[in-house]
Amino acid sequence: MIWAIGLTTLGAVLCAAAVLAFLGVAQVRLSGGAAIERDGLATGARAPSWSLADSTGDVHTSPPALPLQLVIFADHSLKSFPSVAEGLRQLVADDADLEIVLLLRQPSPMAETVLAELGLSAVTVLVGSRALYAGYNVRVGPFLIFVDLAGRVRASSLVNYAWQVAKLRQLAGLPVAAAQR
Amino acid sequence: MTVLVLAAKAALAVLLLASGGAKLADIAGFAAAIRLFVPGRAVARLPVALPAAAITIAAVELIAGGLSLCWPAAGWMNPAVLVLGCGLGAVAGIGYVKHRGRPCHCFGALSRRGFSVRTLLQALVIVAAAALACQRVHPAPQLGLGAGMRVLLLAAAGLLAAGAATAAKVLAKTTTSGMVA
Repeated sequence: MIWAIGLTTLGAVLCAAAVLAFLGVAQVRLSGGAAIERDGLATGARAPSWSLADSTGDVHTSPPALPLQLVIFADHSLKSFPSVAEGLRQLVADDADLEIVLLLRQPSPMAETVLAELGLSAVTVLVGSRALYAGYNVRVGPFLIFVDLAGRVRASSLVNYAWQVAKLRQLAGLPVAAAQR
Repeated sequence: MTVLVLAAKAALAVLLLASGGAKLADIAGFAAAIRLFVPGRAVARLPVALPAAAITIAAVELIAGGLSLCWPAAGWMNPAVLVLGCGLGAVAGIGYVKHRGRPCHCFGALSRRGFSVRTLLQALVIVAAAALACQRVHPAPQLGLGAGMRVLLLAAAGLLAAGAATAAKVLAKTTTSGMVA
């Protein structure tokens, strides 16, 4: 009997220790700048589906109605990234087949005003949620994810400069199999 | 000696549960590791065989770990675990010779290590522990667990497998995307 009790105790303690160790490993590997750079979703992965109304009541969906949708994960702090704003203005001007939405983590009354100041009034502001951000595996912004008609991710990255926005748009135009290589 | 044998048995069971849970959370990654050991022609002929094999191996590890932990009196489990350990040793050996540095996905996305001397030594330790656990140093009835103990161990085993799977699933996401550069 004593062996049975000992084995049960040892087994339970080992299981608990292993769970704590794994969660610790995950915590360590997910923290830090290098880990945040690897947020987002892989090309070809299914993006979360949603249907959200903007401030005028128009409903926007993902997967989108247009061939490609750019989801911007940011808020009024986008003002601190003038180069990204410049890249986005370029996309708005050049790409008629692209729906661009800015997805907020939580309501931000300043977001639309800031976008207007940045010359990005054409970008639709939608109020998302922490859960939706988690669905896209995004923790910090500005983060961009391109989603196609089928709801698959075509390109995904944290961005700091206009050239990254342009390059990400190019990657989004590639077939999924090519982009995964 | 009895303490050593039972500790080896419990440790191996925990190892199998963690390994199986983590592999189940990243079947695609583990299937890619299996592919290293399968001829290209066979992969082309049976495209679904690799994921099926990955799921089967992960499930076998989970079942073997669970049975070994919760039914310690079942002596026939010890040789079965030894066979699994020998299989792991063979894979580590072949991997070290033919695919040095390639990720083994032994613990799904929890482990980033490739085949190396270290993985080979770890596999040898596992085989040695499995051989030790096969020693008969205690009468089976002394290891007969009561219903309460079995439920406790089953709960611990389930928690461990779920914890390993959760951590591996989160880490698998982060290893597939990246920052555009």
